[in-house]
Formats: sequence, C-alpha cells, structure tokens
Amino acid sequence: MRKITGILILTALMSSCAKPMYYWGKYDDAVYSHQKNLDDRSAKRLIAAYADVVNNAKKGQRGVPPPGVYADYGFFLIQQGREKQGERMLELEMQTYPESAFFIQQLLKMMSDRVEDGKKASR
Amino acid sequence: MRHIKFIFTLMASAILLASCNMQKPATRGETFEHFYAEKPLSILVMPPVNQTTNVEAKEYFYATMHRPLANKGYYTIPPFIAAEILQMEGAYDTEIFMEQSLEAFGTVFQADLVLFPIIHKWKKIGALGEILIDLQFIFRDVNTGETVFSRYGEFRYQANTAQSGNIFVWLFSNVVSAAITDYVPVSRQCVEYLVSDLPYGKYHLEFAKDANLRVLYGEQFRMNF
Repeated sequence: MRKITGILILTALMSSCAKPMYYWGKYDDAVYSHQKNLDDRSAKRLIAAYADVVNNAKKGQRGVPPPGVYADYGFFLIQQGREKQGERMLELEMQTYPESAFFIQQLLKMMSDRVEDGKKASR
Repeated sequence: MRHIKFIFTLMASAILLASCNMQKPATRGETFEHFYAEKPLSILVMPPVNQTTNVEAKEYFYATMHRPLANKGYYTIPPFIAAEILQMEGAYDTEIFMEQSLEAFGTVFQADLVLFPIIHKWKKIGALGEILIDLQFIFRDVNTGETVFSRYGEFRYQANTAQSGNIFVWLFSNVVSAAITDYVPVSRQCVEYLVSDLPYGKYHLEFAKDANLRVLYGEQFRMNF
C-alpha cells in the first residue's frame, strides 16, 4: 500500500514538473504593448522579449523557440537596420519550421521591391 | 417484502436504463473530422473582428491567440509579418474575407487554415472587475473555403474571488484588483478554453493519437473563471 502511495505521489510530482512545450517569457505582454503603442519603446521591449524567448528556448519541451518567434524577431531587426542579424533569424525560422519558407521569401521579395520602388521614386 | 424487492429492482433497472440512454460526449475524431483527414499544420490567424465598443479588445486577443494554438502543436503565421503582408496586399480588413474565397491566402502564406476570431461582447459589470466576454472562432479551409470548425464561448471573468470576513475589506480589495486587472492573461484564458480540446497538431508529441479523447465543450458553451 505504501509503495503504491509512493508511486502515485512520485507520478504526480513528475507530471507537475513536466516542461511546457515552449518557453514564452513575456511574449504576450510585449506583443500586446507593441500592437497598442507602435512606438520605439514598445519595439525595443518586443525585441528584448524575442531575444529572451530565443535564448531560453531549451527550457521548453521541444528545445526550440515557438513558431513565428525567429521570424518576427528577424523582421523587427531588419526594420531597425540590423539586416544581417535579422536575416539570420529568418533563416533559423525556415530551418526550424520549413512551412514558413514560402511566406518568408514572399516577405523578403516584397520588402526588396519596396526598397527598389523607393530608390526609383527618389531618382 | 416481495413488493419492496420488486419496486427496488424496478427502480434499479430504470436507473440503469436511463444511464445507458445518456449520450456520451463526442470524441475528437467525430467532432474534428477535417483535422484528422487533412492534418492541417499552418494557421493564419486574422486580426479579430471587434463588434464591441472596447477598442482595446482587438489587441488583447490578437496578442494572445498564437500561444495556445502553438502549444497545441500548430504552426501559426507570425502576427507582425502576417499583418505586414496583409497590409501590403491591401487585405487588413478581416470582415471582407469572412465570406470570400481564401485562395489568395493559400497563394501568399501557404496556410492550411484561416482562423477568423469574432469578439461579440466585452462588457464590464459594476466596479468589482466582473467582465462578460463572448468570443467566437471560425476555422476555414484555405483551399475549399469550407468552415471546418466553429465555436462560441460565453465567458464570465471575476477579477478577485478571495473571501474576507470583513465586507469592507473584501469590497475594497475587489475594487482595487478590478482597477489593476491585466486583461492579457484574461484574454489568453478565453482562447485556451476555446481551443482546449482541438486535436493536437504535428509539433505535439500526442499528434494523431488523440482521436478517441472526448471533447470538452460543444459548439456553444459558458464558462466562469
């Protein structure tokens, strides 16, 4: 009887210690804050939240950041002029989640088209 | 004595028969046929349609919908990139696409499903932080345009249910907690209830192993939390 009780307690303890699927940190709050404010301060807070999720990804069961985090992180870094770092993040999203490759390439094309259009307009 | 035995047997039989007639809740396999047949992976979450007067409700929900779906094992198109592409394509207004063909989303995002969230109600009651929220999710298949699943949740959230022996202390603590309520976790909780029994997606360890589990809620349900 004691053995069974011990096993039950151990199982309950183990299940309560189970890792969550992904580490999210302050993702939701930072996304909400930036959607609401759309300013530099909220953008910096969002980038810090992404960096935290990427750096602590091993805390999650899958050991990788949740879907979309590398991608949105990369997108913001590019917007802030940190192209190389941003492109690296987009690459990581495509490697981790191959289904993202198509729309990320679409996004990069749209962004480069916009830059080209801007150049043409300023000539 | 014989009569009593007979009545007892009759009552026991009636109870047994009644329990046999009670319908068991449906399984995930029965409720989410499309999910098991087509095995969708990527979901484009549209900015919510906000039918309430609370302008912030849209942001609360758009910020909290990706996490519960990702935790179920799905790939959700990242919200900021999705918004950027939708704007570039001149397609930010969700209402326009509610009834239209979704083929364009397949071409641009290669998503399997599009989720249309509709906020029907966001109403604060009194000063004690009670909120009534009605939220509906409509999942449509990108290729066929068919609605593959729809669910409507009516939620009642109470900011602080802690009891105190002193009515004035209880009232004061409730008013204070109502004033500082963070609605981001409240919104996420509503979303989590709505997708709690959705079949697991490809990235979940239980993917394709959960068809026999019972669904927790019907197409319309109420929840207090």
